[in-house]
Amino acid sequence: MRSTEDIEMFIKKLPKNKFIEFHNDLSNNSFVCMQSDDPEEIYDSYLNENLSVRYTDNTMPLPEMEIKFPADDLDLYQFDIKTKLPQTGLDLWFSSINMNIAFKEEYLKSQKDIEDALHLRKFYVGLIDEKEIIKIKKMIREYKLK
Amino acid sequence: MRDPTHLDFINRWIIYIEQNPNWKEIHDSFINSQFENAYDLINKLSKTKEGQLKIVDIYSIKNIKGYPKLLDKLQD
Repeated sequence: MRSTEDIEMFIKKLPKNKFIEFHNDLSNNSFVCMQSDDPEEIYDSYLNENLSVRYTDNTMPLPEMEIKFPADDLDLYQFDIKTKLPQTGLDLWFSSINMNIAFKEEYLKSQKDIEDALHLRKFYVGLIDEKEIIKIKKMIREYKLK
Repeated sequence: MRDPTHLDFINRWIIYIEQNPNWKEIHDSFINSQFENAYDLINKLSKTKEGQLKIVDIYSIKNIKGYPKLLDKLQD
């Protein structure tokens, strides 16, 4: 059985005042940050230190929306190649399929991740670009595994 | 592969998606059922202080005051 509890989300780095507005907007719509209620602490102690924070509805600790700022060129590259996936029916930007496969095969590597990557390779067969996956794996080794 | 049946399942799921235009409804029901099961457990745990402490531990919640209803026994 596979479980899905969180959505990981990169947001481009915001100045603190903009993040505080963002946090307050979430709070006013019943979202809560699991780490702290203080947006300055969230910004200074987590996001600005390249650590993620998690938001959920204030009545239930899942699903989680995990937020972090990009920390390196590979994270920034994900914005360049973001994509929409019509099969999901969601009007959202996703990390590219090739990026997902590369991370699961090169960085995460658990048996579940390998199976997930295989599933993506089969389901999105028309979007697979092996040269792009190799390029991303090289970047993973350079930025995430050094 | 943890279990050979997993690969078999992936292959069968891909075929199912290709052959069933309503696969998203089935998939949504499956995902929703996982959340409903989790919600049932969390609601049961939340009835006691010890259960609420387990929720805090399982989900690594530092902002206990952010969950005034779910963690009402830990608000002091």
